[in-house]
Amino acid sequence: MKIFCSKDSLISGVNAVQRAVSVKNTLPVLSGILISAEKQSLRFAATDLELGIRCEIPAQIEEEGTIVVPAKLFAEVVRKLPDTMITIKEENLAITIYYYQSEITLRGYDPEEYPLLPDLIDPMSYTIPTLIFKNMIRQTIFSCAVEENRPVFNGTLMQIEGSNLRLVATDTHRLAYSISEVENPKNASFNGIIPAKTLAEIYRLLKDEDESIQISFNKTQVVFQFGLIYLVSRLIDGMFPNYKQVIPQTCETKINLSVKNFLEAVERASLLSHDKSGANIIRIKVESTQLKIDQTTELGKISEQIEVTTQGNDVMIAFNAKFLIDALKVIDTDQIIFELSGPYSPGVMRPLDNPNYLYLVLPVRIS
Amino acid sequence: MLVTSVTGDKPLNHSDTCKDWTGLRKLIHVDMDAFYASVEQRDDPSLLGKPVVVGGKPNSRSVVSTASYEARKFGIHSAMPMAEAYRRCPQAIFLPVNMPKYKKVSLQIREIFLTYTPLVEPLSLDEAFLDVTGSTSLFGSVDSIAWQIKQRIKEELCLTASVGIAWNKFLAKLASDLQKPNGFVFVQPNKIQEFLDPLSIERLWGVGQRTSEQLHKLNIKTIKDLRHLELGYLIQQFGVLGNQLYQLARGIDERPIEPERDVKSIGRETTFSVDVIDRDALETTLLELAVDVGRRLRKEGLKGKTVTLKLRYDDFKTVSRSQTLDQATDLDEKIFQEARILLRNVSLKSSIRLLGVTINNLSSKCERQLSLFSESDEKLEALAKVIDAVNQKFGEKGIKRARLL
Repeated sequence: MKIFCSKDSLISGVNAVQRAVSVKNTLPVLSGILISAEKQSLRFAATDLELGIRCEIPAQIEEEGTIVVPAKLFAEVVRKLPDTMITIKEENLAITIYYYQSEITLRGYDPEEYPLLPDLIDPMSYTIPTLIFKNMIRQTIFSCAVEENRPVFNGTLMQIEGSNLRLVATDTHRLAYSISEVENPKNASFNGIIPAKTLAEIYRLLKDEDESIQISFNKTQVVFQFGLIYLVSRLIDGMFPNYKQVIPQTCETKINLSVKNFLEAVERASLLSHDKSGANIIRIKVESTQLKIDQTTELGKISEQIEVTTQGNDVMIAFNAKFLIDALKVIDTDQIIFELSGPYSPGVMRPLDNPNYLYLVLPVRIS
Repeated sequence: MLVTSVTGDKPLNHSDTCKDWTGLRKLIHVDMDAFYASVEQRDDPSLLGKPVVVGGKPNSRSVVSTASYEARKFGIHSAMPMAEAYRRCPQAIFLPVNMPKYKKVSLQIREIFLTYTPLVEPLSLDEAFLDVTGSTSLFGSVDSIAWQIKQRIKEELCLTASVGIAWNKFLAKLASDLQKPNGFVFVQPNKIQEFLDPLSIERLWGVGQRTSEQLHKLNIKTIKDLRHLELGYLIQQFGVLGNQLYQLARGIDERPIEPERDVKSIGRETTFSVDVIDRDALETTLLELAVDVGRRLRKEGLKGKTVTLKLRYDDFKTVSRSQTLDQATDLDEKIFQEARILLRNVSLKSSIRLLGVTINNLSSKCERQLSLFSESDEKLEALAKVIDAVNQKFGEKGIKRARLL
């Protein structure tokens, strides 16, 4: 293999694939990046066998070839290269990088040992506008569970039904739901749980200039293609619980409030509610036209009061402040409707005049 | 006079009003002599003057809890395997550990302490620190209080204690240990260096085998030797411990008396009479331990978030594995489930000698984050309450899991 390319191209390739490189690898070769120069295109690829990313980068190919380079070292070397035209040559499982009068040789791995990123056979596919998808990820992904004891909650449910695309994420304490209407001429349908890590990578790699993203899938895997990137991910095995069942259809108290005022009040109150156990619980009291947060701890005391419009009963309810803050930060509208039904039932936030998003949060029971 | 040690007579009259004590605390460390064995000897006079060893069964693999001074002459000491103790002194009287009895006596001793000061920090059943700084105007000088306590333990409970008096915990504990048994050692603030200098560095709090080896390599044997080292050098050699060594070598220790220590963890472990490798048998024992830990959590009104499994292999290699739960729990089932997952992830390459379960990250808060899609714990909680109540009334065997029959 012999190729010529710019430092920037190398960096963009490394950045695109590096997060798919396996961290706790049993196979040494998986700690590498597969570099292949074929038919006038240079490709970088990496996989941890759950997520695989391939990226094409602009280069001039003089001689075809493939090699696996150690990812971490190669990435560091590339970042330290001078801003000039770089020549890369591969010979006997080693790669030599030439710049000005200097050169670096790194030992690589046998590319034959590197697993192929699967191309889905006979997949269903579907195209959506980037901006819509990116925003849907942003508004749901934070609700995925971090603890790994129930794998279905470590991902986001993606559903394609007719012209509806839904993303649903929950860690059982809160649930974020986002729906969009998207053209679906081939009437594709899909129902699968995509690992949060995969969606986080897509969110990171999607550029605003990528107009659309193509999603292809079968029963166990899903592929996302956008710009010069091909990303394949395993789907999480298991049944996502029936989320529709837990979304309340009625409520006892309906509060119309300003996202900004509420967010700021909750953030301030949470400063005074941190305790040793890490729980961050705030108590909210809703009385006709006022929402109050009164907090007294060893640290001090805060009383927040915001004007709101309400319908229904007065209520006193406690939440983990983080769960409120997370959602208030991603809601795009100025006002929300916050629906409550007593101190032990879920609260539901809906952006005013936007039926496409919903956030459900369970309270903390205090006795 | 630097130090008084008495084995019967009242100490010479010290005046702790001398100006040396200005601004210093007045602490007493009381350490019962061979506590468990002494209680047994007291309650059965036929044991007096005989070697008595309190611990597990003599032919088992358990260890010595306490040996009477007569037994110590044969080289028997706490934590020695019972089999070894038996080999050293087969004629000794071997008694099982009667914890409820020792606890009762320990509480009686604490009652005596509490008549002099509320600042009592028990370290275990048989030793405690007392801060009597504020009590001297009521009860007399610090050494007089210490003497009264020692006498009352002797008269009211027929047991002997060794006491140490000093301005801090480190010196007081060192002092009580110096003339055991029945010791009485008073470290005057202006005599601290004289008191410390001849002692070997192993006496210092924080100096274990490794540190002592390191110090010996530097030809440091006594506290006096250590005092000649500079602070910077000690920190460079021993890190944080270096600073501690520097302070202790000068008799400085500012740790306060902490009357009520919060429970940090609740756990139970057991050593098998025969090493076990069968997973099923291990899991049954694990359930037994989890049930006990759960019961104690509920009794204390606590919930814990982190479950730790401890395993000791037959070669004494010990491993522990922890998992933090989503939500704090006090339920036997949850503790067992987590501990079992941890156990299943450990390789059983050789057989297991000891198994233990501990729960920490405790809180007494009754706040609970509610959840979707999960079975409510309410039923299990109600069940645990009922089982606890039944067992409270009818004893431990009132209701038992079938697996533990």
